[in-house]
Amino acid sequence: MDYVCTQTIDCGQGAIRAVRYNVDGNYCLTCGSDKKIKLWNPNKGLYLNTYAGHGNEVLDVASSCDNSQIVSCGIDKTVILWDVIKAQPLRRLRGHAGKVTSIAFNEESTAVVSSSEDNRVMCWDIKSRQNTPIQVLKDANDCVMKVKVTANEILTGSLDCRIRRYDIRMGELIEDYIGEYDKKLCFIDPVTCVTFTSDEQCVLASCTDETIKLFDKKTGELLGEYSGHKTNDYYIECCIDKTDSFIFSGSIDGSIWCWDLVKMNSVNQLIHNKKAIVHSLSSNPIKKGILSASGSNIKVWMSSSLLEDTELSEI
Amino acid sequence: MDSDEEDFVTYGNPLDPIDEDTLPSKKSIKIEEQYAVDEHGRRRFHGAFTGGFSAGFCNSVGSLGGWEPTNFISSRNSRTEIKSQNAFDFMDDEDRGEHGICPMSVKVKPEYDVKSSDFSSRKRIREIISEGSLSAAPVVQQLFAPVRHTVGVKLLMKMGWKPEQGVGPRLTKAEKKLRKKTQEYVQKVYGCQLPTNVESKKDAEESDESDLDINLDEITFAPDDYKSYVLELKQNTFGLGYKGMDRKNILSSNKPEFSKLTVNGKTIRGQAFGVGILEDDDDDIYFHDDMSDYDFSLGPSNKEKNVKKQYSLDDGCIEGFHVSIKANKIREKFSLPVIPNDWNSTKSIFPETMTEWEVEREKSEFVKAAKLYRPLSDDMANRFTVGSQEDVHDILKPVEKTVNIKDQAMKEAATRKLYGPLTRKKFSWIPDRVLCKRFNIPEPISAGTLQVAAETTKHKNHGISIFEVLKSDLRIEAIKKDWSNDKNEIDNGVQPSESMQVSFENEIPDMKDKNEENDIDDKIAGITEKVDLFKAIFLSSSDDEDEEKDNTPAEFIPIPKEETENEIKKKSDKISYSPPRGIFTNLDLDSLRYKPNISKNTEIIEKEEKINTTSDIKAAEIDPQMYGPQIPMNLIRGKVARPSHIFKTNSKEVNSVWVEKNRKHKKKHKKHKKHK
Repeated sequence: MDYVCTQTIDCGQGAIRAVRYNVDGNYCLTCGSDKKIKLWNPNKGLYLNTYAGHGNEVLDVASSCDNSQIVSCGIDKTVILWDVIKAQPLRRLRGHAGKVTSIAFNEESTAVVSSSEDNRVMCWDIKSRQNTPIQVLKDANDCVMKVKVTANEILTGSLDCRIRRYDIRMGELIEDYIGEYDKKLCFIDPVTCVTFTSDEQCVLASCTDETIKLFDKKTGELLGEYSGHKTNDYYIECCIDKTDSFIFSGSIDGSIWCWDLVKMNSVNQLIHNKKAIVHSLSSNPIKKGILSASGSNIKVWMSSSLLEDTELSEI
Repeated sequence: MDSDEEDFVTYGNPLDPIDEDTLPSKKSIKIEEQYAVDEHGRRRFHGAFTGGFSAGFCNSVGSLGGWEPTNFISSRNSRTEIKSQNAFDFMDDEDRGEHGICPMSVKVKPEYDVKSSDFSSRKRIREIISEGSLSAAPVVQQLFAPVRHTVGVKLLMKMGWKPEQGVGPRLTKAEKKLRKKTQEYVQKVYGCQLPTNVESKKDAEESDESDLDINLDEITFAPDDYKSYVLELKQNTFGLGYKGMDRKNILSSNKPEFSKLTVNGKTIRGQAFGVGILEDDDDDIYFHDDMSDYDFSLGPSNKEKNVKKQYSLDDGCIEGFHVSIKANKIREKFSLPVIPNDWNSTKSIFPETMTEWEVEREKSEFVKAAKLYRPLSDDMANRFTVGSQEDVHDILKPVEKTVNIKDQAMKEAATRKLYGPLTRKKFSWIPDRVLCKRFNIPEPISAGTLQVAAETTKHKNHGISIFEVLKSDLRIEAIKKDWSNDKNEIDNGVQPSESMQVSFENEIPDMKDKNEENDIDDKIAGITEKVDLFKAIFLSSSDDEDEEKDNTPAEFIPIPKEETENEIKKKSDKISYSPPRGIFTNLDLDSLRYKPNISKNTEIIEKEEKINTTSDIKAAEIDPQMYGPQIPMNLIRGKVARPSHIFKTNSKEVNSVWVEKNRKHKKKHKKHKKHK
């Protein structure tokens, strides 16, 4: 497994709070502490557009399935829906009482789910002009750090040490207690694991006890644990690559840790920045590659095998 | 002559001798040659009409060396500092001088400047009682309070006073009442308003409640505090006693003093009579209505009561007075309490800082409070619970956490990494209807959907239409019977959203679309029939199909209070106790109620807080509250739901008022106000 850094982009945005791929992996978005979001072409390292309008730092961003809209959230407690081309905010959704930590579109990009420091997860309707949330999920007892949306579920990870999975189809809330109070939940990532059994699904959770745990979604059992990286008290993201073979995580030592999913051994460490923390990762939904953010720049990593192919095709 | 000169005595120093040549001649300088100059001798060029000023260096550049640039300081290391310019960078001494654009001089602050009109004394401003004042200044002042008590307050507190109390001997409830009455009397007689306590209204209400169990004479209260009257300096120019615009006159409907017009010995009273262009009265000619001016029945009114003359004039005292009935109370003297010989002060729950005397006072107050104790009402009581551990006296000792046994097992499993059933909890969760739509997932039917949740909705309420009330009854029954058979959605299904409220239009399309597969087809057909009937009657044809929530269904729809069906049923049992307001203030409802000759078309006017009187009057076959043509009996007994439900204004289920519903489109115009 060999990942090489193909691009390093200095975003000029102060500190990057999050970096995200879009739905087809051709573009990426960076959220900066300068209250702006920037759109890039990571393959060519080109800057494309800036979206300014937040009142405070932007913490997370998501792009719609048709690449026409972007939704972002930040410390100013608002969620903003942007028109990608015009770079204008279309809607400002106010409802949260604290900084909004994470945001996600649903599959058809007709709804947006946001999680916040105020222990709430709010579902917003994009299609209609409603400025109030469709539904507010108040089950968490502490800050909800991350929210992820799949075809029929909403997955949330909270600092109250619980992963909550809201199954819309079944009308259920499944609450998984992860650890003791000191092992707070940091980040989660739902994963479709094909390697285990077909239709079986797993959830990846990064915890503040410096481990990343892989859970079986149906039973809640622990399938694997990955450690070695250092997080201290920081919010370090983790992700899994498209083929479900490797798990990546940031670390405070400035490198990206990679583990083999099945063998649970540490395979590689990609050094991003020796002096700063790598905290944000995004996995390419189409190809084998990831984005990492550290300080004020982002790096694009691609699998070397892929690169050889592309080089050949270009020639 | 010489002798006269020698007699002069000179005092003082003589002036220097004048040299005639050196004197500048006044008139030789022509006016044209006289230039205005400033202190530096520079010619004033600009602003001649305002005294003139010269700009720069002889109206050219800033100084002898030209414009002086600011010193260059490298900003390479201080890049992120915000570089900004301000107006002061461009000002020179003249601008900052007395006649410049920005005079910067040392001045006395207005609060200390005795001469200026802004002078506000450093003394604490006492609260101003202003009549009819529209300003919010007193409110703002109340927001800021000093951190420490003043010396006076400290002294009072040491003597047992508590903030918000008045100063003086303690009074029983009866005495307090008397005091209030006197105040009101004084106000009535002398026309002045004594500073009253804001809570006087509250007390008035409390006094109506029965306190039969408590012997009120024993319990004393601190007298009410009153705000000291501060004489305000008159700083305006309108006349004495002039009152500005009083909100009360406009917003409330006080009974007006009707003007009267006298013609040929006959008088006409009423609005606008007597107020014409030739009149001096500035009476308020806006229409003030009051229900007590209207008759509710024909015939002589019983309201007139002749005030009996209790006292005759010839009572042996001055006209207008009478001999007193009550004898004057002799002042009682109370002896000191007798302390028994063997009394020892026992351990108490009071902090050590309190003196014995204070402890005693607290004890007595607790005893009194206990007598007045009433348990918390339900709503409040739900929010509190009894502690599981007893209070600990040693505050330094760490308190053990209360341990939940269930959670313990879960935590242990987590530490041992036995994740699974022990660490997992399942709850039923009802996703919102719209959310399900957006995810393209059919709404899940679970036990939770049958609950009528009491939580508030996020959706806008368009008001429950009559249809839902009827439908939901039937619907719930249908579902309860058949839900076990149905795993799929039931088309009329109760929405899994958190409340029963849905506007009518959202229902109809659902019903029409998914009619085919279910067992309760018949019941649905029955429902649709009835709904169609109502639709035909009430809906205008254009307002049918939209699924958008912003649609308004009909021109006239009863808009009841926004409440779930459960709450409606609960409320029908309750009677409103809040006092009537507005035009109903002076209405005596009790006298109206039990009249035997209520005609069929009595207008028992419905307003939101009105007391429902129907429950008192027994409903015969024909409900006396019903008006309109009587429905034939065969229809009432039939399967069709009674249309009479609709016409009943005092129905137990719906407390509604027929109001014309505004089109929601109008509200859309309000949008374009804020951009940022």
